[in-house]
Amino acid sequence: MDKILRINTRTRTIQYETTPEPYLKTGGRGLIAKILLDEVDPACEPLGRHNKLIFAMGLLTGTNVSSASRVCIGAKSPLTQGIKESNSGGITAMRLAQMGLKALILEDQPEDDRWYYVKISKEACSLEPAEAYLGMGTGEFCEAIHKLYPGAAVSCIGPVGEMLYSSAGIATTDADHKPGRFSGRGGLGAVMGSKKIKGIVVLGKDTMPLADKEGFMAALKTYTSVVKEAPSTLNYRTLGTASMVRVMNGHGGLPTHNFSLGRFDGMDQICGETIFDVITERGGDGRTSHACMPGCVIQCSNIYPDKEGKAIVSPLEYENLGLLGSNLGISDLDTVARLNALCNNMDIDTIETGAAIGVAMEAGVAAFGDGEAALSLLDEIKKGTVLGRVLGNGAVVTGKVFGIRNVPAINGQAMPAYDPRAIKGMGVTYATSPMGADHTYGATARAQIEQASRVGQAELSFSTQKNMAIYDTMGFCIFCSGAIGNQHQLIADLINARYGWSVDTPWLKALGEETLRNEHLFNQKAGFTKAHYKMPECFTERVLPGVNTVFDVGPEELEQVIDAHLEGRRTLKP
Amino acid sequence: MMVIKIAGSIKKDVTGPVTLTLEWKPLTVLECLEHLGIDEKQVGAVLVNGKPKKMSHTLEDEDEVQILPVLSGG
Repeated sequence: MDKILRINTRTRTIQYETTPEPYLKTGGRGLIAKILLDEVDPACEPLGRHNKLIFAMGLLTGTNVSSASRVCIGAKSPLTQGIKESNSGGITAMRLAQMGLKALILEDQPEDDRWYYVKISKEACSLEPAEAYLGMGTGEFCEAIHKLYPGAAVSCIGPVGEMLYSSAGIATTDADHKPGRFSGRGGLGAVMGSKKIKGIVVLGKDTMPLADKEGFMAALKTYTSVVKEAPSTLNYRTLGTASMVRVMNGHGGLPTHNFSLGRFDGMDQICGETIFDVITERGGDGRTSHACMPGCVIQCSNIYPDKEGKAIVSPLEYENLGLLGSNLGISDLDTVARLNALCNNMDIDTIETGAAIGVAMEAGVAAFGDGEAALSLLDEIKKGTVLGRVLGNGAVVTGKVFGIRNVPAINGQAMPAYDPRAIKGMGVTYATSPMGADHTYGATARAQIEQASRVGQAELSFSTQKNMAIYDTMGFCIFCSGAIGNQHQLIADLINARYGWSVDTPWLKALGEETLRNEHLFNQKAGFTKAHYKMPECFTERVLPGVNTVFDVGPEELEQVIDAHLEGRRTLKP
Repeated sequence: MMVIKIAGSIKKDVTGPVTLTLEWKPLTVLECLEHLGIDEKQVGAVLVNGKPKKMSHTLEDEDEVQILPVLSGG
């Protein structure tokens, strides 16, 4: 895994490059930050020719380490105007790594209207005409590709990426070859669309070279046992992320009616336990547990079927239940599943779309709880009507157009399903992330802390952000963190056996810190100041009923987090 | 009797997993958690005989109850 594949989408030249030395000992999110800092003008226009779309493999990606082959995709974001990395499960990164690639870079922009998909196999790459696939949803595109290349790994955009919506994502096929995994956040699908690339298709698979096979197998055995036996893994495998519906409702932090409430009357109808019962009862295609990539021992995914047992969507998970369910006042699970499936097929971010429709509902465009109206709004988005284009460009644009100030977004990107007034560590993460409101940047909801108190939240978010930067650089799934926690030696052992290196846990920490620093540096050069990293007034001044508090972690504490990252400090306070 | 298995990191002062037996009473899952001094918000899932159950579910004699931690996000 030592090549960088660079494709110029204007000249259509394809080059394999040897990975430069400074890039060798990083990967995934860390490598994306380095390449963007080195090659992309932070002040560039995200949908212009100077931006680049990067697929970067994690340091353990392609191996048979469980949950270590997330596909990390990055660029300057059209939604936030800052750096963006969005990763997802599926099989594309595993296959790209097995084709010997450390990164794939799409650069420049076509001067004509011809569309292509990128076909990659071992030491071979070509651009194939894609006009015949334009307008296709992700499902139809993948079906068509699989007729040509059965079993291929695919990452692609749907019609909203072609239309350059700021909330367009990139879908990736899972272990069953369905495009059910999404690098949904930040509008990366629009960046891919701006380069007129419909998809990435990877043929073939291989095994990864191991410097110390015996040592690797020993480290893998220990790691697998820790992940497999962790109580959090049993929860993921049984209820999946949907288990968070009841927990967040209990905290009073489940977004409801455009984040005006934190507890939902219909919670019982959309919670994980109900989903488990419905899937079990309906049978058919339904699965209460499902792996998105081969060899995953967590298997947090599910397949949600209709009354006839035919799959509606996979997975049906927490963020979508929150943003497309409670946030819109919709408690009918089948409707939430259909909303989710429609978003997936047109490849629009479910979080951004749920937040945008919530804002529109507050404006009276439709009533909270009206599932049919929500389905119609998704149809407008797909058709590209004026209303659809407003919604498809996110919650902030929707708020501006309809004159609504209660917009749950930071730096242009909508909040995931944790109200920052109830889960204040998550609020710190949203406000201080260089990628806009993003829970995966430092998820704090499981911490043993008084979640609605301001005390200790900046420190908690800071340390969680540093931990996540390590995981994202390896290609790991966030869900390993519940099992591994701070046992970073397990990761170091795998890395050393994989590459023949002698890294230790301080090295891993430094790698995470370097990634955070690079990301903040990129934003600083793009024009971000400390004033950008703040919570909107609708959360600092509007009391959340039930929890009876506002987001009150002070701006000076948020600034401390930014400073600490930029200065590469180990501790929050100097 | 019921067997109760509590995962580590659910109670603030208990780091490792705990297994205990409890004389059966017709408690709901929520009442059982309260009896054990566990905050519902620190519990990600409750499995009764291996199946996830809601807080309103009434426990039966001989049940095995697994109390699992909150997840790290979705």
